[in-house]
Amino acid sequence: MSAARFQEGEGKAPAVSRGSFLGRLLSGGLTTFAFKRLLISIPLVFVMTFVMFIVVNSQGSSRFDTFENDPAADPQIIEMEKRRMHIYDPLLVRYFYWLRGVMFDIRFSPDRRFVATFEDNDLSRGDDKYKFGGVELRRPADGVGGEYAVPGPAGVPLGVLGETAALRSMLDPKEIEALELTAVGTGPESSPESAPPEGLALSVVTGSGATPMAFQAAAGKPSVLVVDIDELNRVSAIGELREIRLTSAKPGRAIVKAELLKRRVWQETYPGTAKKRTIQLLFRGTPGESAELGALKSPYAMKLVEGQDWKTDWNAVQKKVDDSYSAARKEWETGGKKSTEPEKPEIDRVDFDALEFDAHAIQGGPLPVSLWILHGDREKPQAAKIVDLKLGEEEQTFEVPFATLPKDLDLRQIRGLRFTCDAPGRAEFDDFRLRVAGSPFRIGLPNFGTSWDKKKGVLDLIGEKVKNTISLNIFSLIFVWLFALPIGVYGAVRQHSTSERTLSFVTFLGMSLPSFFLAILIVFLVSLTYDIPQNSAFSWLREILPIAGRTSQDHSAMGKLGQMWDIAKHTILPVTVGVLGGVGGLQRVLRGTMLEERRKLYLTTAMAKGLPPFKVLYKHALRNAIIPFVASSGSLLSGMMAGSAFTEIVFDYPGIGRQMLESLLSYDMPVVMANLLIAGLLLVVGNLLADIGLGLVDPRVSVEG
Amino acid sequence: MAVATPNVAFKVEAHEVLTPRQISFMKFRQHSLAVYGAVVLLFLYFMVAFADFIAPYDFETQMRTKPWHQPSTIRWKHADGSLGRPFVYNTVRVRDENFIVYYVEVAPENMAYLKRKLGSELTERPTEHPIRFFASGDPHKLCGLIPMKTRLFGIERPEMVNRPAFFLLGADQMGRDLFSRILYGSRISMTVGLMGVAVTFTLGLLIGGMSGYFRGKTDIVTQRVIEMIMLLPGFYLMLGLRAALPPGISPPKMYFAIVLILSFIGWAGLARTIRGMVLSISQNDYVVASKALGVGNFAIITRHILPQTMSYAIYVVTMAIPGYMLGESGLSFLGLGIQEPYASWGNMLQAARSTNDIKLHPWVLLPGFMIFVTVVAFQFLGDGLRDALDPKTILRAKKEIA
Repeated sequence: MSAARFQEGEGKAPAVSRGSFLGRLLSGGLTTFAFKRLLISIPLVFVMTFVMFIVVNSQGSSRFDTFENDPAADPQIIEMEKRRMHIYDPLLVRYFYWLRGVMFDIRFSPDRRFVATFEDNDLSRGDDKYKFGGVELRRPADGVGGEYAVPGPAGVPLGVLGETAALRSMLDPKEIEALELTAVGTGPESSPESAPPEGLALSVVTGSGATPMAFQAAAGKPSVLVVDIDELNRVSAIGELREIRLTSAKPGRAIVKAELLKRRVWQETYPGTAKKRTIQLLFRGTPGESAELGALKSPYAMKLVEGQDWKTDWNAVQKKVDDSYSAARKEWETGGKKSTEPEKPEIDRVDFDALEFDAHAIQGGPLPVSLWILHGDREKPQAAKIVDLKLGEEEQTFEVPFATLPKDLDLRQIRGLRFTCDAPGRAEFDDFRLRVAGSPFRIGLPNFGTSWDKKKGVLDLIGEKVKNTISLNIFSLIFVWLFALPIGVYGAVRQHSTSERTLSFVTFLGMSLPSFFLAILIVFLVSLTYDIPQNSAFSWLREILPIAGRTSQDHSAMGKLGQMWDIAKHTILPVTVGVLGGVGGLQRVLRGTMLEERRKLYLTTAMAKGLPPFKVLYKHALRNAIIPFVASSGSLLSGMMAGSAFTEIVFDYPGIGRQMLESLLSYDMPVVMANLLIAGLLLVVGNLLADIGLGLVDPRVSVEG
Repeated sequence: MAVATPNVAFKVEAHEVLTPRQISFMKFRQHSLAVYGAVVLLFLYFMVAFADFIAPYDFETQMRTKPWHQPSTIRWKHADGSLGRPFVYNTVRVRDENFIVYYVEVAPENMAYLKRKLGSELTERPTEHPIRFFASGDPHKLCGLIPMKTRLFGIERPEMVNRPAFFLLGADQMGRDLFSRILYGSRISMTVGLMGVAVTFTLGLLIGGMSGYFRGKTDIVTQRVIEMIMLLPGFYLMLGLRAALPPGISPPKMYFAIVLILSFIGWAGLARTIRGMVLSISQNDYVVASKALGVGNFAIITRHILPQTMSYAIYVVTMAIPGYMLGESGLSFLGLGIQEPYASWGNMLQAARSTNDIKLHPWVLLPGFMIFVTVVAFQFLGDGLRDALDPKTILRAKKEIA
């Protein structure tokens, strides 16, 4: 297309004088041209992403097909995940959610915004042992449970749990969160024979004795014991774990079910700063009795709270901070002890005015739940009851304005939250957010959402890979030019010579081999060097270049220079594949145009004038011949990105091409979309650069464009 | 590479007047590489047509005792030293000290070695299994129509514990004959390009033609659509479109889905070039004249304008076929295209994704070379076609003749 443009202009004298490259770049024509291109391309990329979004997400629920056949997967949880991934929203709505995140996360919200709250690692620690970091997939342990006649104090071993290896694997704290035992009396309440045994206890038997854990079973209704795996491990760490026994003080009959609560942490980052978390709390207890759940600490709240400045005189604080900064700076300037320049501290002046969360009961609803705020001393905080909630099965949004807090509660001393409930049940709390009064309009960083697979921000996941792909392609492009330019010129000058034929044959091979096959062949060649005996003269050839990854395993142990060399070594082969694939086409273009230029009359004139052939060739002919060469570099880029994707896959190189494949195989749509968009934008930028380059080498473009 | 030198004098009788088609044909014949390409392609497509007859085994037939079998040694010399019809010996699996498996022929000269290695497990005696033409093998349908059991060649496979098999090019990880699978795979790999190009050709010509002929709004919209498709890198677009396919769709559907995906990506380039050509052709007087005569737009485009672009389009299409092949084999290589047990050259190369496997069994690379040969043949053919169909060179040749 670009070539057509030149041919139209051929024969005309260049309309602009040849200024410096920079001058032409800055002069109106070229900039307008580039800007126009950009103006058309960027919206088109987004239109394309819309089409692709519809296409890609049309199979969004395929992700769950595997779960649906899995008996261990709780349909309720799958349903919840589907809701969370907006599977049921219309595609268009989902697209606009996505687009909003991508377009610098622009948000309008009426007069409020939310700040990040509870983070993952804080949930699994802390003094609340019945907290679960998210959704549990309940898996009944095989062979555990069933009807046990509990005869008396002697105790009944819990089935297969007597085996040490099974116990150990069961107690793996990485996998399992807790052991939940449910005891239900088998008969009517009145009948004493079938009442559940009293004084049930769980005993952990180790080499050095048994440790009982209390377990109350009441008649007619299930009683639940949830034992934290950490606690079990602590107990069993004293001696070698032998078995876990269920004992009772008085005989009775009950069906005892043991279930392992699997640790499954789901963390979701939604567009925007509000980090949403789902917290499931399991309530136990008997009616009328308040069972405490412990505190739920928020580092963010803590940070804000601890930074002595909650609802204080901001001017005074600012002054204090400024003073200490200027003192530190003075000390640094006068050559004091501090060797680094102090940074000016920024104070985040956020004022919270409310706490918001969504909640609903999963089991045993409607659940009467109370929200407490823990305040005061950090080690032994006091609890203040804030509000009583009635949790229904339907999800509800609750709002606790801080204005309603008791007057004597010192906000600076808030340590955490606590939920209590005096009835057994399970509740889910979702989307905790601290509401902030402030501007309704907000612009953030582009946000591609959360990977469904890795439960991690998409940008975190692929940021590094984008860089790797860009560097791989830039290096390939540079080397393609470095090789194609001389080979193309040489091909035109020494047409039909043996060396020219050999060169074009080699580049032709590279062009015709599929890039993934070329990569495989190179892997094959390198693998052949493994056969070279250790002590032969060619032993240096053994494993000369690494064929997988971007860094070695001991990369972090290397020095700065060593690391660079390590990365370079890993990049050589992928770049080689790219170069072999790219040189052929480009050098053919250059050779063709060079041959054409050489036949033209102005070259004959130049030669007749007595110019040295070198000058004629490089100053006259090449300058004209290089134009299609630069023009085709833009389209080369598209092919190269495809090629590099295959190369990444074969060489196990961490780039977006490989990521694209991986996320596609697991139907991880946010990552797929991010990869598509980024690849599109990279191509647009590449084409733009090629256009600018074209404008630099060809003055006609800037005029016509 | 492979640019023909067109200025060769034609030996033509003075009274003869050549049609452009004859000139093209003559020029094509002088492009030797293109002729080689055409011959190779004809040969390959012949193999595609008779793949199941030529292949000694079915693509699914697993020789369970012989995974990763090396290419069989074809022998001509009998044990007594006399020459005869070719035959193979059965092979048995042996492990070396590194536990690497290899196969040793049950041939008279190997018996001592095998006895040492296997001891009492060795029950077979050296038996010659002659390679017969028109041997009976796995049932198949010739050209998909005629059910038959005869295959071009093969050996008899008596029912026994370690059934003998004949691997012309070795076997894959499941003991399937690589040669047969290459043949069966060619039915997919060699046709996907033709199918794709047929779609692209139609779409590209029509849309490009309309865009260039009607201009105005039609042109702007079409151009933007084309730009959109070309704005995403092909690989990512291909994978993205592939994501729209539900998991576990049947192989024939997958085949057509791949064709559609690839042509969806491919038509844009052709349409854009055709549009450029149509823009200038539609200014010609004869187009204006047909308009004045009241010929319909569609007729003008298809009967007066598009034929002008045909020679260029044919060249572009020939050069595009390798692209479709690469697209298909790439997808299949990634495990997103044709699924096992069906063979395509791309998914056969999946076996080459492990460094160990290619090192120990380099014959798994053969499908890659088949792709390479086909791609090169198409490129040569395309080069030749470009020179032969280029109107400029045809005119030049006419002048020379005159």
